[in-house]
Amino acid sequence: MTLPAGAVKLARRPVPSLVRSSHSGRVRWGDRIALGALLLVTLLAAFGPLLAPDDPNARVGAAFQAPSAGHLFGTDDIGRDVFTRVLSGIALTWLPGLTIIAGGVIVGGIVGLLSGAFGGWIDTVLQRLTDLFLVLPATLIAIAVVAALGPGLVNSVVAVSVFWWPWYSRIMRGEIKTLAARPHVEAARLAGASRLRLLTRYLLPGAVPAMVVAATLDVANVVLVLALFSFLGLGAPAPSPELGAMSARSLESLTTAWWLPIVPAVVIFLLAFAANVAGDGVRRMLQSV
Amino acid sequence: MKRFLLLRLAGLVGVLVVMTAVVFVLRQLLPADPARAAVGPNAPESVVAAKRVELGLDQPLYLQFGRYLDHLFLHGDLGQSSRTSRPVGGDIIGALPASLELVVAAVLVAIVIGLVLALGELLLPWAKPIRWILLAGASAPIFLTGLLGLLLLWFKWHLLPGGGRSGLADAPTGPTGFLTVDSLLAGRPLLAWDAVQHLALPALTLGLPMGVAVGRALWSSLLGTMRQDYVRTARSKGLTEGQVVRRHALRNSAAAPLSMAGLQIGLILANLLIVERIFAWPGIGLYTVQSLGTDDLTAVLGVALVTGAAYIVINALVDLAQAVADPRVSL
Repeated sequence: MTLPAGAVKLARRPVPSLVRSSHSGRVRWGDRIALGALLLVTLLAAFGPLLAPDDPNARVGAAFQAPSAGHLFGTDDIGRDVFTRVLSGIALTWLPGLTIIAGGVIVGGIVGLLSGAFGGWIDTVLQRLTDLFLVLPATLIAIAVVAALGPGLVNSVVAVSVFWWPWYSRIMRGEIKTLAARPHVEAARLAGASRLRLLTRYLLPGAVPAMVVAATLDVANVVLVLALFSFLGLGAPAPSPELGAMSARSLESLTTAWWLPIVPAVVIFLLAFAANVAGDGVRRMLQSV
Repeated sequence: MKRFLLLRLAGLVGVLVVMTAVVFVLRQLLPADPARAAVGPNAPESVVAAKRVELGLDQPLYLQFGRYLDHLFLHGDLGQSSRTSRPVGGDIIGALPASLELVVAAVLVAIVIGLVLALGELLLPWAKPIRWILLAGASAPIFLTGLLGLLLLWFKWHLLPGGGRSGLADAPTGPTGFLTVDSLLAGRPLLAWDAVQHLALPALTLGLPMGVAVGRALWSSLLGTMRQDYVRTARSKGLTEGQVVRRHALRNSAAAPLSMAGLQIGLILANLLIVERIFAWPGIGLYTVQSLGTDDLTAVLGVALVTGAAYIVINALVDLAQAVADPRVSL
């Protein structure tokens, strides 16, 4: 059981920079705006349904109305307000996405920490397990799992989460291994610090920046994977305003009411774009110093 | 080298068995009773019980798994589709050429996009904004690019056809199953051109995310290579920047984008479902979507097994390709 050599290299490399930094160490305005956008999206996901003008599942007028002042994104095939549904849909994409990332960081972090801190056979077993999860075709198996267990948001989140931790395990292990060889850790060990104290005070805090960077850059990926599941009808069931499903259910309206399939897809794009730009900003802030 | 190959082969077989086991376990979770399905809904309970013994469903699970592997590998038996009432294996073989043609075209598109983006950003001083294209391309859900392409290029501007593999009814069906190639072999260039036009938009949609990902990997890999001593030497002997990249840097930067391409094949296989659905492309993706819609899980699991195995084998081959292309890759 081995991982392709290149994949290992990819996983161990520092996350590639997309937007080149002109000066390192200082927080740039662009990054602040991007981080603000990320915060805004999270707030929108949490409180968006409260701001919505209508009930996402209620008919508010004639079907297929074009976007107007009354209905910003128009109405859908049974006369529901698309703007309201999109606002509610952000929560259904964003919050499960953050849940998956949090689960990945925690599980992968623990696996990587044990692997890096203890070494020996524990390391070997855990890393072979990580390898196995990395070479399996994650998305395909997750689709099969959700199909077999039955569609639903919870099942989707569980199926995706099962495959989401291995990257974090690798990053954490790499960080711990590097840190363990650094002089300040060596000094603490010589000063008689216990293994637990070494882990919690000297190793874990040092690995946090790399994990935060990886997690922020990952938000866009998880948003897109959840959108894919939703589009395939594997997410929350029918009346629920999931963005991908809204797009999929109105495919036939593309030529008559183009905004119905396009608007939810554009919103997904904006979510992922905000996450990508913010991830890049976080990477620069935490790694260029 | 021989030892390396044998180890990799053993690993490959191990992963394939694990994936088969996952699919086997998922089959156990399905509510449908295969014995009942085989004899029909009105058969008496005793007949169902007899069928269950005949199918080996009364045996312990590990024996059933052995039987499953035996049927799978020796007879290519993936079970029967409840939607089409045909063997899933046959259905997949029938739909495979269309998907293969689309995936090959998409990978070609992706290589071109990746090279253009990475080299453009590196060499052309006015092309710095490419990084925003990369960022946007990495953020677009596959159905957004597909739907926008349809809306603009087909519906609004009438530049490309809107779906399917061909607008003509009498398309040739052999020998390769690739409509573009078969039309040329049959001596009908117009038909081949029609097939290319039908292929263009789905292939572009499917290839774009991979192109962007490969472009990102290649670009950041090139940035590292361009700081190497031998690149400085090449520059100082008077080569142009383009020559330096072409002769010295590109091949040395190939490892990361190659692995990225291998990993992205997994994404392409998942996105295939959506692209074939949007463009009514009659391949295994559309077959899977239709099976999902009718709860035909035997078919879904069959496709997952076949495409998953393809993904694992492709990545093993990418791995080998790296070792061959770059002797420094540790065997």
